[in-house]
Amino acid sequence: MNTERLDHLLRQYFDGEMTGDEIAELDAALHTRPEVRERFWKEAHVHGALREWGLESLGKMELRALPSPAQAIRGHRERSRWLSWRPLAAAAAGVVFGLFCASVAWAVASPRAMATASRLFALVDGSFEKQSGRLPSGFPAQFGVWSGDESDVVEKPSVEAMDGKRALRFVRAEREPALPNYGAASCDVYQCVDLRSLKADMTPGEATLELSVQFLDARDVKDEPVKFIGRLYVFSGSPESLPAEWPLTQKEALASGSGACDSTGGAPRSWCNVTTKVLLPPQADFAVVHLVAHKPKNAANTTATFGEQFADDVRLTLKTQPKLPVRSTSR
Amino acid sequence: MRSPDEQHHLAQVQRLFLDHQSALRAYVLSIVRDFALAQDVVQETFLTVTRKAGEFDLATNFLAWACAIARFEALSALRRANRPALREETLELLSASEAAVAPDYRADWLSRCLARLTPTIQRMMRLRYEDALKPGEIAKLLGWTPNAVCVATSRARTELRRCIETFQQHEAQS
Repeated sequence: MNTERLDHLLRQYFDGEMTGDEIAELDAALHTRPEVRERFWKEAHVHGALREWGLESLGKMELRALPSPAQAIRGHRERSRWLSWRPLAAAAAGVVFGLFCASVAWAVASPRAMATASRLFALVDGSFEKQSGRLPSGFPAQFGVWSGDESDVVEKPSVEAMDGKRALRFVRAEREPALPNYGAASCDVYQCVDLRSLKADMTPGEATLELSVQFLDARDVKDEPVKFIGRLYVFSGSPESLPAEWPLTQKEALASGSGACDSTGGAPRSWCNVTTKVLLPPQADFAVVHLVAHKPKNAANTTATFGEQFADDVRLTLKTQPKLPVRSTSR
Repeated sequence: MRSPDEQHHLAQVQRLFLDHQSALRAYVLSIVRDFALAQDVVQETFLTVTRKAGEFDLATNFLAWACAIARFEALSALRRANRPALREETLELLSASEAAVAPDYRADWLSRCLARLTPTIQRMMRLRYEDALKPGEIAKLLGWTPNAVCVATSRARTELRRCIETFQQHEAQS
């Protein structure tokens, strides 16, 4: 195998689609030639490092534009704005705990033939039926409240209802004034969830938290692509102390996960389901649910507008190992 | 029900997992390639590590132990997804390679090197690694062919690696 062929196979391996024959060819070269294994790792290490960088989101690079962490926090609070694509930054500022009500249902799932109790608890108003009009601006000031960038709760567009009559509508991305050279490409909405009351039901490290969201792009004609993202983060400790730890990195979340779907609009309109899950380490104290409408093609230094993108039927599920026989109940 | 000692041991093992999660994620990604699938595999690995925590001796190499579990989980996930994979014995050979040890790719070095790429290539890398778009999807956005995206991505990775190596050399000399 010449260098050109190896280059091609490695490109296809990390970025493209490989046929069975191609992967067998690469496998044979890796198996027999140490220098190919070395070359493989050079590619893999950069690929992995870039993904870590990507997971920490656009915000991390922009942090270098901030004069200082303290100034960044001050600017953040004074303007009550939240950085697009910076969920951890958002989670850092001014979160106040409160309790939320939960409806509970027990169900059974059996991944890997292992019985698991699934405790389903609703986020406060995950169906957006209990409110209408503009959502509060900025990161939520208490548990059980949806808030974030410009968005509102409206009657759903005329497609098959997911859950009730209303849905969250993404209206406009909001820019962080402290980052004048950075446009706002995503409209972010958050809700904070206290997990401490659930700890009694969990065996440490053997629980997962799963987020499910329905998104809809209601544009009648195809247009600029929009990416919908559902993200879930869990943190330990007291969120009041998080701003002092700015700038946050992804490593400060104990766990995080995200799911996404892409749309360019146009008929037929249909809801797309986005799910993600995170493992709950024993130290987990609270979660942040993050809903995003994002325009990847949004021009630099501009603010993306939405208006025809919706989210609905947000569900959070805690799956634990059963301590008792599985039962069904609700409250 | 675990004893207090077992709970303490489990917490230490889980702490090790959290400390090594970036390296594990990169290792899994080198096997499954797909970002979303890699995340699922890492989470499955955490569950298995938790289940098998009692078998792990804290005096031994956690990353090697966890990578062996991750390799098994990754291959299982690829089989379930009906995607082609390298053979397990090849992956074991790769893992035994000295080159498998991840170099010091500090995030600030990576960010500085990324800033040296052309704006178009920076955008492409963000679409690839932040938005997790596949080359075909990026090609549509940029008006390129998927193969051109693959080639440009690979070249950008090579440029970044060389750029980071200059930082490493500079630090080694200072």
